[in-house]
Amino acid sequence: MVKAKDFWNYLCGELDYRFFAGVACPGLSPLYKKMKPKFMHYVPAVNERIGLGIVSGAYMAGYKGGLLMDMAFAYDLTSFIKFNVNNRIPLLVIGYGDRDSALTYDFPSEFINGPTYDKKIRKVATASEFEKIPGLIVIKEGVLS
Amino acid sequence: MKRYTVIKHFMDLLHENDILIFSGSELCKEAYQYKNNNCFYIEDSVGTAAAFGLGMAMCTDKRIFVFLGEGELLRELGVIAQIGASKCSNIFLVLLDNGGYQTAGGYPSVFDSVLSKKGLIFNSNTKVITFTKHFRDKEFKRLKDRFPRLMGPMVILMDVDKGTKKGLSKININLKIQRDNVSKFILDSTKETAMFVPPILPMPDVETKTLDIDMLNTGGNN
Repeated sequence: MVKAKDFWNYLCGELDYRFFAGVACPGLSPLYKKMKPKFMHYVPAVNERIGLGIVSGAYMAGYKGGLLMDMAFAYDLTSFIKFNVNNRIPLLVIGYGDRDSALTYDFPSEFINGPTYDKKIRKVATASEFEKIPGLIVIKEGVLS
Repeated sequence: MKRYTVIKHFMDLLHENDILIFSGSELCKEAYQYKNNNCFYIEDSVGTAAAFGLGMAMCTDKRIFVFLGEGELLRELGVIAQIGASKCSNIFLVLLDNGGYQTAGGYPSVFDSVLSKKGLIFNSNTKVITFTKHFRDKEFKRLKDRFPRLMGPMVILMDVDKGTKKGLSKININLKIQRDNVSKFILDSTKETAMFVPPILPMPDVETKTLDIDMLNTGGNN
């Protein structure tokens, strides 16, 4: 199991990702419940594309950020993040789903299915920052608590 | 008035500290003729430009002007509600309404069939204003005084003529350099104003002190 509180502590405290946007998704509900408004900024977006734009804009102003999204959009993820790939704007896309939705893309991605999530997140975050492209973190359904 | 001319006058009216985002291939091409370090061109935006500008506006005190066509706005109409909800006073959408998709030969958009364009925007809690008449009457001197006082979130509706400027050169920019230039421009704090309230609070590292009533009493007796 992955504790949502620890997940945020790691992402905000260790990796300095502080600016998030997204659309409420049932699979990620533990993350929404354990958000730390003092250490991070979350923008409830109208839809995922707008959320993506907001996080990308925040990056331009110096804030690393991520997008919480429903992986129902995963089938179109490559075209969805084209803006970021073209303009070399990194961000973390965090969704929930199965292993396949994490490993079908040619940008940094990891599948989290257990407590050793920290190394995986760091790997994706580092690669995303280094290559200036989006990174994808897919959390297995039911792993978050 | 032609879109090319409207853009030129707009750029003259804006402050050097403002950030300009242009969305759409033809619009970018026209704006590129007046290129500057504070301009960000998104040729294939597909509805991201306004949200991108809003993200910037949330994290800086600099004014962000996003220039887009009505077709682009219709694609992501929800962004109007998002901008209204943000209450960011430094985000402005400059809606250049020419009634159609210029890249598709001027094929008409559905924006003209909207009952009230202003109402559509206003009901999303976003201010809406138009300077079409002022531009047509060439009242630029008056506008020069008014523009620094504009407060968002605001949509500036501008009616422009159909058609695009012919014979313009293709945009030749390295997107990575463009990103770095604009980012550097935003982060240049030497020009920031006192308006800015950072969205993210710093980590609490100071110990809180409680009020000592005894100390107050002592002070009063003396």
